[in-house]
Amino acid sequence: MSAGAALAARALGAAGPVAATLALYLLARALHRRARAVLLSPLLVVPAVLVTALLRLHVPYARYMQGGRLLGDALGPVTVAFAVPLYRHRALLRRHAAELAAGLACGCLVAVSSSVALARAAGLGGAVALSMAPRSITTPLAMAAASAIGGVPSLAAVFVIVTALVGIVLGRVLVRRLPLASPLSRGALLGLGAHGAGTAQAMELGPVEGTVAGLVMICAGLLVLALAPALRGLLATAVRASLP
Amino acid sequence: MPTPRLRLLLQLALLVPFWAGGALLSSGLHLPVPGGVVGLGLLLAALAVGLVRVEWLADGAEWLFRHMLLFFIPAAVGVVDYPELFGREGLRAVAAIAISTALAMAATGAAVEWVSRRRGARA
Repeated sequence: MSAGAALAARALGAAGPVAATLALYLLARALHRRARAVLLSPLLVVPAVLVTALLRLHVPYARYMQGGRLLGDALGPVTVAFAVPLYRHRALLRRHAAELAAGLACGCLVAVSSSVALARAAGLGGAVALSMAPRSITTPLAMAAASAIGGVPSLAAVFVIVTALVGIVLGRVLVRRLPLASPLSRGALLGLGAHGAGTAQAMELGPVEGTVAGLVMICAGLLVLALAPALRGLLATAVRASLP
Repeated sequence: MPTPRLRLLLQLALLVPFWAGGALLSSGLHLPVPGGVVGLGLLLAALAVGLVRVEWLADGAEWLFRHMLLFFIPAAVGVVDYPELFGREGLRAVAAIAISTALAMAATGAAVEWVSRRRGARA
């Protein structure tokens, strides 16, 4: 096969997965606009349909990723774009540095440690449990953190999605039930607990809640990613020491 | 005056050099930080010194955040390689995530509320 033919074959192999993912995404988004149920979220529906299709058609994941990788690469620019809200709201970040730092420290500590501990208690394997450590941070950062911690990036992406779905339900209840007087604490709760999905929910509560949730989401991601090399040894020891 | 669509494309294109520069720096200097995060730092620095104006990319960033979900679907599909998670083990994983999420949310809300009340009382 000539180089040109090989290139054409690769492009064709990549086009299928990209087109299928894109079409399902647009369809699921349109559906979700009409019926806003958590179980109809494109977050759940699109991966579920794709997983079922791959299993039914006996297409290996590596084959799907020939195209899927192209979409995944866009998470790089997404990460770069996080600089925009950080810069725009630098005054708010400075004014409430103490509150936000306290929330980030407590929230990240509880999220990471309880994820891994509960995963082990539930009898999940070491690599699976480690992939759960960054589940409360936004996907592009969680995948990088997972590989630095010794987990599996794609499993981390799945756990981040499950966190979003669970967080949409829990966030609504907790924001209503907990005695939180400040929009700052409501926003931080949603942004740290349920990253992007929480931020979207916080936007509906109010502009301050939404902005704070977005900022906390980004800062929590950067914090966990920065601590990932240190967490690696710590969590590996904890996972080995835990029973199953 | 560029059309809105062209404007969006230009705004998205402006992110690419920061991403590429970040990736080059990250791999060239063997930094423990992924290229995207280095790019974030570079862009933040460029905004701070006034090399780039925030309105040059605000709409592009907004658009990316709105469609971020599309870009991580391929990674999530990777769960096909872990069939054990389709059964009981998966349900236990969901339960662990639910409890941990509630704990992390409560801890965050309480910590922020506590500090903001203390600061409010002092002021």
